[in-house]
Amino acid sequence: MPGRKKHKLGRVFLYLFAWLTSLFILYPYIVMFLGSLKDLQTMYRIPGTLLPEVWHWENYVNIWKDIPLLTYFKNSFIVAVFGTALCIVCAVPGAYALARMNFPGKKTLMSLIVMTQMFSPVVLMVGIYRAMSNFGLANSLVGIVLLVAAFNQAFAVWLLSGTFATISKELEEAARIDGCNKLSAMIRIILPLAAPGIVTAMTFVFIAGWNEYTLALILIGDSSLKTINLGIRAFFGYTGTEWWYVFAASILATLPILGFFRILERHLTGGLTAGGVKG
Amino acid sequence: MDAYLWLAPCLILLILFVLMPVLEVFRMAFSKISPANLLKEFGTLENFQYLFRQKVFGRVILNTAIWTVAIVGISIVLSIILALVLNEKFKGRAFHRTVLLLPWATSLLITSAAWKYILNTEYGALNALLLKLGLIKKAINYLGDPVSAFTWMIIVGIVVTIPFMTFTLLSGLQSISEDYYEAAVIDGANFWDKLFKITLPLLRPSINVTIVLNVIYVFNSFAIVNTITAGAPANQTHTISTYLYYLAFNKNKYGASAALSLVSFVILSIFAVIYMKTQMKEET
Amino acid sequence: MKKVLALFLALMMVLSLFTACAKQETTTTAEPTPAETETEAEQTTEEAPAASGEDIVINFLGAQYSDKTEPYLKQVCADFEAANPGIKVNLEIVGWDNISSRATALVGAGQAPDIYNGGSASEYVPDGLLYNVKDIVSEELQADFYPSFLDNNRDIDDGEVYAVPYLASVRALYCNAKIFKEVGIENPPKTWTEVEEACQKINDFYNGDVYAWGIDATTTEGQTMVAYYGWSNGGGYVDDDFNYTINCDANVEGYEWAYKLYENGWTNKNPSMETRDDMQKLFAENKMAMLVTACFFPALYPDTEMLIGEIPYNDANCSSSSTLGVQDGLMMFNGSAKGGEDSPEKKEAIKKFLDFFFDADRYVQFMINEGLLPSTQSGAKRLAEIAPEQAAYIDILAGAKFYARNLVDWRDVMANLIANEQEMFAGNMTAKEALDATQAEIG
Repeated sequence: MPGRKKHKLGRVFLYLFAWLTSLFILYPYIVMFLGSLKDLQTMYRIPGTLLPEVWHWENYVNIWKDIPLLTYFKNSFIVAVFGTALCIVCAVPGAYALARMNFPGKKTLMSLIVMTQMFSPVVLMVGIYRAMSNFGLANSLVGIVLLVAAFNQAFAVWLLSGTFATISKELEEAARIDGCNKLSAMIRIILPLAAPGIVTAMTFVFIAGWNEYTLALILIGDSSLKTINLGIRAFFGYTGTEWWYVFAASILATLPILGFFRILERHLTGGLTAGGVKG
Repeated sequence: MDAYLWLAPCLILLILFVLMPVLEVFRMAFSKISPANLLKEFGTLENFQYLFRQKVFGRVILNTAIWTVAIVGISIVLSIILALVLNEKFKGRAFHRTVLLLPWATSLLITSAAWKYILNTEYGALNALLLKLGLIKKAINYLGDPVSAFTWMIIVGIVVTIPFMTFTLLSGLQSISEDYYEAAVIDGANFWDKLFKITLPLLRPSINVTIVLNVIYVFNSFAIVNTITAGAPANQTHTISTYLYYLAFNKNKYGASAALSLVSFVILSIFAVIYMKTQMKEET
Repeated sequence: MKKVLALFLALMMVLSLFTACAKQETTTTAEPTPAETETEAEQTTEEAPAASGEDIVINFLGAQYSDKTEPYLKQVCADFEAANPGIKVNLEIVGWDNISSRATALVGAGQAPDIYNGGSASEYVPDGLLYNVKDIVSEELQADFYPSFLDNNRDIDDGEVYAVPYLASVRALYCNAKIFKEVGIENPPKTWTEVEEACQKINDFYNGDVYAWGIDATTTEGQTMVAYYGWSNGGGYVDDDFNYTINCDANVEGYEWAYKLYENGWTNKNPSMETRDDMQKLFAENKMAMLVTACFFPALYPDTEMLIGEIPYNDANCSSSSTLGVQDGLMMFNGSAKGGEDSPEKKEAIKKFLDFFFDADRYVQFMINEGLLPSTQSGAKRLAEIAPEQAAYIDILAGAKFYARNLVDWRDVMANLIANEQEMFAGNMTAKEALDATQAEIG
């Protein structure tokens, strides 16, 4: 905003607000980080301790040996990556049809699709399990991938159809004159232009897949198929919570996503405002 | 007809994996269900009667409303300020942006677990910090009474909602052309004029989007309450999604749980209709 | 922008390659190496007919008690498979607080496990989903279980037993030895009067910095209050005919007594939220003097010195203490929960597995790992030989009383009881109102 130099007071407020929010957000992570370096006794000192009495850096080495963390990571990645891919692959043509084609019942269909966003897996738990075992997909990552794709479909379609609607029709028509059919016109002309929306949609579905917990909770039984969230939940045991495990695993689970976000930062929500707003 | 072909993958996915479970829930809500969760006969309102008889039912609905309005309302105000701040160029902006991404990159389960540890009265990190700083003399019991526990969970909810909102608004801000401001400065507009006459009106679409999305997310949110209080004390801190889990798995009342699912659909649908109506009014 | 998209797609492809490779790797490692195949050639041919699809598969859904549970059970299953070619045991271990939702989902879908550790049989009996123990457990094993334990699984309507006790624990009064020494109390209190005296002393000595007594009214453990404060006053959950007696005068008086301790400031401040786990930690940090909790407590905190006593009783109304025993059941789902009858061979295999599992030498190792108590007499005998410090518990266990879990609405009623208890500690209800409300809600 021009004229900002005049506002010295404004600058101070700006810094203060930024720092206060950041500190508040960081606080649980500091606690988690310090906690992950404590031993169990220090963790439960009363009153609580701020710093570890002995810094157990080896916790980060031991955790890989004590629990199958790598398997958990792998499973979470499979769910997030394939869930995202499937979701987008199904959503793109659907969104394109809704944005560009005219057919009877279009408006109703769009609202129906968007309505499905309101169903949360928690609410449908028992129904989901029943449906999935009818398909023979209980206790498999494939089942979770399909569900992640399905439960994020509404959002992706909504966002992408908004994005497609903002792309000028003429470009596409020009391509068609050049001999492209609808499909290749979409792939060559529309998709690259819709990239901001696609990236945003992908990020969202990816996060939803990575954070997925309730579906895995009811569907996954095999310990070799557990996702990271299930793994972490298991530390809340019968005889007590193994907090340092929880914290170390949590930090390790958060870092890759944070890195991924940093790379994509600019595009995380770009697509939402670029196109989705008209939905 | 072509259009339906294009829509097919999306619709198949939705029908098989969303609609089928939804129908299943409908069937359950109107059926007698045994404690082992087997469907007996269809066509009864028993489950709804049981649900409405629960003395905490009203509290659960009210909590859900407070939960949704408070988290979305407070988050949107904070996010607008934060987006305006982070839209300025200043030292350390990259750092603050990264920090803001953190809660979004962390799964809700983890965040909730961390806060549960932090808020523990005896060994919790918050009391440890405040005691050490000398700000309090005696450990505070944060989760002891429903009001305080619920407030803390709302705070956690706000922390995890802000990142998404702020980044949505930031990209909205970035799409506002500088020309508007330059013209306004020529007209002698001050900071507040610019904020209320240019920035906020132009930001309106972004604000709308994030409000709608977050109302749905927050309304359905499960992990925070389930991990931190699981509804205690006396079921006073449940929201709809945790209460229906409680009905099903603590009380073996699967039918009532399904009935509550339907109630929650109805509430969200009413919200959707109201939203669409007001949207349309604005557009005309 | 395009670059970002390309990057993301590339990343996804790399990852999918990675996962594909990972899968391949596991399959190759799972196959025996040539050298192994050669040396085991004889054995493999012997087992070949069974391995070619005729394997009997037993599905076992078990709860995770500690991080030792899964490795132990895996080993048991592997040993069993080695000893019984042609039978495979499919083990699934689920965290304690998720097991019932997992089981519900499985049963609802008609895919119940063959053997299930958790929940209560009464939920499944009305639908006829469980084997009568007579039909699926060998007679020797049936006779080996403590009769009182088996009785707790007896169906109220038809008098048959539909689950066997998997393992048990008892509750006892644990006193912090360091605190007792400092304050000058010698023995664990036996009666309510002695408890009050001890509380008063401890409270005065530490000026309120140490909680004298722990109360647990949390969502997971609150149902114990009737056992701790009702039984010890002559009350209880049910009468002899299994009618609920939640609001009987003895229970009300017991709850009033517990509430008095709380009101006097002698207990933890937040009984509705502070779990057993939290209080055990307080105890270990010498911030709590007396706590009634499960018998695996000492094993969790080996460095904390404890005095062990029985749950205190009101000597005005009772002549002795009553111990709460908690058993986890093991139930066997029959064909109607699994979408098809079991073959006689499979039933035989399940029988065999149970015998194998409860074999005293093996089973006792499980109990030692977890700090829990055996439900078989042979196991108890063996445990007393190798872990004499546990022997005392075994004696207590033999006379313990159990929850009335064989009532079909048990979980519903207990959930209501806990909610009302929490209302009491919030000051919204008196003890009588809380228990009356619970009794009235039984439908």
